[in-house]
Amino acid sequence: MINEIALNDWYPVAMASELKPGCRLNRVLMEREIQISNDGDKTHAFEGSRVLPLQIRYDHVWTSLGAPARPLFEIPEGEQDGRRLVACGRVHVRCSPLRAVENFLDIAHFPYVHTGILGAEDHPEVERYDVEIDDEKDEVWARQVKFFQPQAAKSAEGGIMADYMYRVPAPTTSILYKTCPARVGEWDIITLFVQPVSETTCDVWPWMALYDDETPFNDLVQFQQTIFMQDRSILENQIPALLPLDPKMETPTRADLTSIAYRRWLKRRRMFYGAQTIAA
Amino acid sequence: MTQQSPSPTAKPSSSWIPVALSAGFRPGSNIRVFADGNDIALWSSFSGKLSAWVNRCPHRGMRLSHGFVRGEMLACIYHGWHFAQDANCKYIPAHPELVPGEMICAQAHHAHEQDGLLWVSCAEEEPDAPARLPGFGVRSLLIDAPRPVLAGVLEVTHEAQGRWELTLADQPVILGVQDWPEGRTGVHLLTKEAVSAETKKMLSRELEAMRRTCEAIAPVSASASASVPSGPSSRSGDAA
Ligand code: FES
Ligand SMILES: [Fe+2]
Repeated sequence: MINEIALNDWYPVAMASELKPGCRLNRVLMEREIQISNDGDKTHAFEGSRVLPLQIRYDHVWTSLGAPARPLFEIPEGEQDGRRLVACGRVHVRCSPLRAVENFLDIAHFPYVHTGILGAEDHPEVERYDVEIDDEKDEVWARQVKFFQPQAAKSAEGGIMADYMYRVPAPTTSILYKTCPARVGEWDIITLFVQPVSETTCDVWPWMALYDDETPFNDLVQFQQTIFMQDRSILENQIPALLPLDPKMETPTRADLTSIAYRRWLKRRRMFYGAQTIAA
Repeated sequence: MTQQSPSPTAKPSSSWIPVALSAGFRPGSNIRVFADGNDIALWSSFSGKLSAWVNRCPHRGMRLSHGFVRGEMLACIYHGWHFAQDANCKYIPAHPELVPGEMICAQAHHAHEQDGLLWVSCAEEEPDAPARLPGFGVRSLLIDAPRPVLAGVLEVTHEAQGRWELTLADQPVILGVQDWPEGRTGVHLLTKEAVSAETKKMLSRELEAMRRTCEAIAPVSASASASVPSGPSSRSGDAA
């Protein structure tokens, strides 16, 4: 069931770089077929003959099947001078769009799923961190997150204690702020834009805004893809496929505070597309 | 922290289902099997103790058949929670100092080894052991056809507790039969007497020929039924 809340949000459906003059891209958004076309100077989105709202931001094309209730979220850091903007392309995943976002908010899996890259089995501890649902902005935030990383990013060598912040500005978007190895005091930004294809399948569009002038573009994309392929093997094997919102369905611990807040926030704003609201 | 609610697909059954051959299932193995439509992680500890659990981690729902065996415990691949033989969670790596409460646990079915086969039962009470029928494992195969198609193709002389007795290439054999989701069938071939490697090879080819015949009759696209709600679309878990 697609409720109004899900219908009226913005979703990524293509990379801006795909918009060649004369192109026509067929996409599926929440089980509906839509087209993106470019007539040489303008881009349009349609569902059949119906014109859909459209905007191009953060190197991606955004549209909505309804009437967006609010403007697309802001990522001010992503528009700062000196950052490399890296659109990583699309990864298709057979999982709920909400499970994809939740996995991105989770650090406790690094030692086991991203062994030797984002985590190490002899450093699995998750220290206390702060989580809040910001009612004014209507966002979820996790701050003061620290985790040991053997190789924090493409430009990092050796293990470090990496600092993170997580921000969920929309139910299908997650932004990660991470210690920038190249520039002390700044945050690298890695975001996950998720296009819900159905309640149990999604296309994920990772996008990065980094201070890194050295690493070749392809290496940056490759690194992100490697990480995401590892996540995919998890995401396609979680049961049930829908994200359970009933707290009795699964067993979180203190390390899962971000996930707990995310689920609570989804429930509060009645975003149920991709969620299981009743215990099976 | 609460206990995981029962698997949505859990169905009671009275009997044992043959799910794999003992031969080749070494200590430390962990595979995905099905019994009565239930998705199950079947694993063996380093000391050889066999367990069959609901294939779902109580933490965040990851299939436990993707996990790894450490000594006498099974660890989930997602966040490394360790579960002991009694199915209780003993170690949560994110909180190394924490002693997990007793209500954090996986859910166990019954597992049993006998006559060259590994058996699972999803019954509440552990059923009596299957009747004795010794066999020597040859090979397992996953066939894209439902059980009735196999029954039509093979001349089964005797059938009891998921085991078919028949003659294959002049050899008296036993076939353990296990229903998989989406109209598939897992078969586990055993001989009644110890045979040479040569004979095993020949029987294995016969079994493959039988598979081709069955799959020609029932292409999986036509036979794929809604036997399991969101069954696996991956075939990586070939009946071991
Ligand atoms: S899902 Fe199994 S340890 Fe987290
Ligand atoms: Fe991950």
